[in-house]
Amino acid sequence: MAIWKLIKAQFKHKKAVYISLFLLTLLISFILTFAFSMSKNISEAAEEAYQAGKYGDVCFFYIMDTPSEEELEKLAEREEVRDLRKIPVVFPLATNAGIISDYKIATPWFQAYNPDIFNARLLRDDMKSYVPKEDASAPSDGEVYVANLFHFMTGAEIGDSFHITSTNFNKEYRISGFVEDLRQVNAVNMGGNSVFLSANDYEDLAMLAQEFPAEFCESFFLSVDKAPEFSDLSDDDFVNVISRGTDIKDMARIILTGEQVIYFSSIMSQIIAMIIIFVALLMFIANLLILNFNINSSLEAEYKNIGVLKACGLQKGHIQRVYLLSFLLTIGLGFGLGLLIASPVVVVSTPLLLGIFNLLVSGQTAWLLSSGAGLVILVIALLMMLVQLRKVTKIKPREALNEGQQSVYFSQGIDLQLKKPFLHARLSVKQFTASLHQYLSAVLLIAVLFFLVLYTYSLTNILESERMVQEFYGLDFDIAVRYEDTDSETKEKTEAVIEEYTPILSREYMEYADIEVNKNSLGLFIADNTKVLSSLLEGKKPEFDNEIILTKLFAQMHNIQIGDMVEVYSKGKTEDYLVSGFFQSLNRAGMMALMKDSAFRRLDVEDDQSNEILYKIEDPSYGEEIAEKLFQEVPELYVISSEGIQKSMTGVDAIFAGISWLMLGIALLFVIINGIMVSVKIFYREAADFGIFKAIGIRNSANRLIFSCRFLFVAFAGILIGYVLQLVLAPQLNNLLAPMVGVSTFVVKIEWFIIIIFALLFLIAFFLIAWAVSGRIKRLEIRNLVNAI
Amino acid sequence: MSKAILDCKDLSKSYAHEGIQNHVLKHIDLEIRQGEFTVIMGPSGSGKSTLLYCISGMESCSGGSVYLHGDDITKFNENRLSDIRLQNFGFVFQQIHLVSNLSLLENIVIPGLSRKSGSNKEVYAKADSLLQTFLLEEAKNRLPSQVSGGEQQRAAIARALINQPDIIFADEPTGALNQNNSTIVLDLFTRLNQEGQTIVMVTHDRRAALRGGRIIYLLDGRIHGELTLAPYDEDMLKSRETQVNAWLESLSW
Repeated sequence: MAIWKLIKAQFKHKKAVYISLFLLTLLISFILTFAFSMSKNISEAAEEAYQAGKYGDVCFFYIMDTPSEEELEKLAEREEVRDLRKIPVVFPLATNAGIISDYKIATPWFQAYNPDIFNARLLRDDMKSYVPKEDASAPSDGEVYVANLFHFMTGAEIGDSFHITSTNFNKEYRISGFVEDLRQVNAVNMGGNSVFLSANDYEDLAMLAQEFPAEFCESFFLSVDKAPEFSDLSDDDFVNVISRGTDIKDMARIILTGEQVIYFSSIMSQIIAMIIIFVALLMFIANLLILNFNINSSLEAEYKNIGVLKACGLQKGHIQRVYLLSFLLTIGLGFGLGLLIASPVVVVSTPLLLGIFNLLVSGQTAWLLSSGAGLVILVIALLMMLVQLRKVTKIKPREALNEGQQSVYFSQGIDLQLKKPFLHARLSVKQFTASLHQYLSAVLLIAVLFFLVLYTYSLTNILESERMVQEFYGLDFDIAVRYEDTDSETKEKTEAVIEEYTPILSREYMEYADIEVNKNSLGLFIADNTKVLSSLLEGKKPEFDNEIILTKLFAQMHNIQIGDMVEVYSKGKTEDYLVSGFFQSLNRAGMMALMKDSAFRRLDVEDDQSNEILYKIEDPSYGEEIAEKLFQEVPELYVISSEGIQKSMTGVDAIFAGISWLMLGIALLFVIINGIMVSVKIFYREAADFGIFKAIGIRNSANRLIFSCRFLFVAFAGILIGYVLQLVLAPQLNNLLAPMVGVSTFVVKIEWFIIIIFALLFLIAFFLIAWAVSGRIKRLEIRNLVNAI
Repeated sequence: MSKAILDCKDLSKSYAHEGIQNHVLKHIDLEIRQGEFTVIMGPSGSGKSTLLYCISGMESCSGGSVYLHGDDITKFNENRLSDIRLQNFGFVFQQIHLVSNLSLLENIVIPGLSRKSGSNKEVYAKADSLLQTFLLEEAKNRLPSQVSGGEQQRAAIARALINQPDIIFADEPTGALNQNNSTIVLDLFTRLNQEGQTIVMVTHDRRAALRGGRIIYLLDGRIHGELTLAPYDEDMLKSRETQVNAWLESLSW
């Protein structure tokens, strides 16, 4: 009973401390619950969409080269294969083939809507649920279903027109529905934008492809399901097993396993959730520091009271329980309420996720996961408090009663003579240095907060489209052109078009192939000149015919070191290669290798591979304009510009930036709450000194300056340590995020002026907070101040 | 009769706590003259410390006026009050209240350096002279926690004197000291007063009160009696003690 009375007294007399701690925990709980729920809901939605969509355990996507019917028949007969579905698709080869309003779809693909072979789930008009499969019929002739992505990208609505336009074909369709398709553009550009037609309209388009092969090409998706008895086989192994000795895999432009479909569909949410969890984790560390700081200052401030309580017969266990229970109750309530508040926010924000992740996500709260996290937080806080509260044992009633409040200062601090000018600044320095150890937790707290802000800021540019292309794509080029034959007149014509805009600086031949390295599937860049590689991380570029470089991510996954020999398989032949270095590339989620053209020939592959040229041009800003012009002038070409790739990634870029800025905002709010808590605590700890200064005639403004200046020093020390933390820890944290998008090394880039701006913001914020808090000097009577209130 | 430095008229002070008004000082009129050593006595809770804090500009009053050289300081804003505390008044606390991380010398020079006038050199010279007078030269670079209570209180008095104030206010200056140190501090006050320093001291210690030339007895927030004594003379201590005791007994203390 006495303990509850003491706890009540704690809450009553230290309202500010408990309210702040409560708010901070609530904030952490809220963002954790939100992150966990979002991550769980999207993963589940992706899994459900995959199961419903009939993507198959693996799907192969062919563009120009397609396996023969004979090969497909053989494939269908294999014991590992349960089912095989061929889904015909038409691709436009010319530009402007798909237009919604003014929006040109870069690489659309057209297929007949047939839920029996590929179930792109049709969304109801309100975009909140799906039309049941049995009620979902194909669009009528003259109508199309488009991927829900377009609704968000272009603002397209049902009833809007959709054009297919080429030199010899121009037809307008009416958009009559939006469908979910996990193959559509997402976190990683998987190369397609789905448009579904009626069977008749598709037939017309397929005929057109035969009539005008330079403008349209008919190809297919191949969905293959594993036989149940081979369910243990990984999707990758399944691909290798079924394609060995055939062209099934080698001809495919894109191969997607079921795992990859789910992975790519939910990767954005996983990365965002990871970012939020990192931020919450840092906040939690800061919260632990503030808790530690609070317990310490409470023990100091209540030194005498604890002595009195002990003298009255209360045991140390009773006193410890008062602190433990009051802090734990606060944290527990904060966490519980954060969880409860997050729940409706998850529900409300769920519809917005469709626009971001192209999935219909349920608004379930991850109660179990979030409560588990809350429990872990409580246990860690409890352990830390138990360590801190051991100090209660050391308080001797007699000493406490004689000394009153525990003496604050133990040394004179820095040897700095008090004199004019800057007397008050000097006084501030002396007091700060005299009780430096007391500020240690405040310095550490600011260090964590500064690191939190810097790291959160660094996330805003981590997946910038510009960086993705320049640093993570792996290849340095401005325009890439895929020719039928690089010795043809087309090449001359193409280069003439490019040079109308800007001189060509260099041209590098490049091709892609699918290989296996130590029996693991991998994409391969085959470069004539390795100068084109822009993201070598370790080792050296391959120079000789027996050398290969691998992405660091792949090497780490398979424990391959530089200098190791690896077995490379392609089209029936195996050769050994020496790993000369590691690089990184976003392509194929980071599962890539690179070797010289002459090295690839060792695998006896016919010399028909190098039909792509990567150009560097003098003025890269013409990149997209040139690509557009080439589409018009030489429609049979496949042209991409790095600027175009960059633009296609701006959606991802914007989402990341948005989330990161939001996190930065939360982090800054967190900094302000913490700043207020710390300065209030320190103010009361040193109130007596301000009373003395006030009594001897030092003006309130000077007194407040003495107090506030100290926070400049505290903040400065914290900023320095925070910056060191950023240098040391940020790469480690980023290396946890990087593999999720196929990159092994995110170099944290923060410009100096940004660091200086944040440092100044911190200094100003802490100074102003301290200045505001020290306003109490004005309001409180000297007698109260000197007697430490 | 010397001229009045401080003149309180109808001074009142009340606190409100949970809606209940507590009247600590009730309509007090008091005049402090140049060179006087005024002692304020009274039982606990009589309002003597509150009176000292109010007339020294440390605390606001609820009513009435306090004139310093003819100016009503109750009308002053906080900055002007700070200037008065810095230039016109010196304050000595019962609990001493030296800044614990500053040496005795640094504690003493702060008010001096805080004034706009006077160079650093002049302030340190004045502090050295005070340290010499108060026999603190050897301890001047020590922290308050490294010297005795008596030395601490002497340093606090030196701090109060550094700006040559018109009045020194002392709130039970011997309250936290042993007898020996109390005597040293009281001797110091006596000497300062004999040199012309105006002192207003709150005490409940009869022995300390004997040092005053005028004793004001406060009871329940009002001045209940006043006794004027002859200048302090160590040889006449016995008769002075008898006179004060008789007066206090007449007031039922």
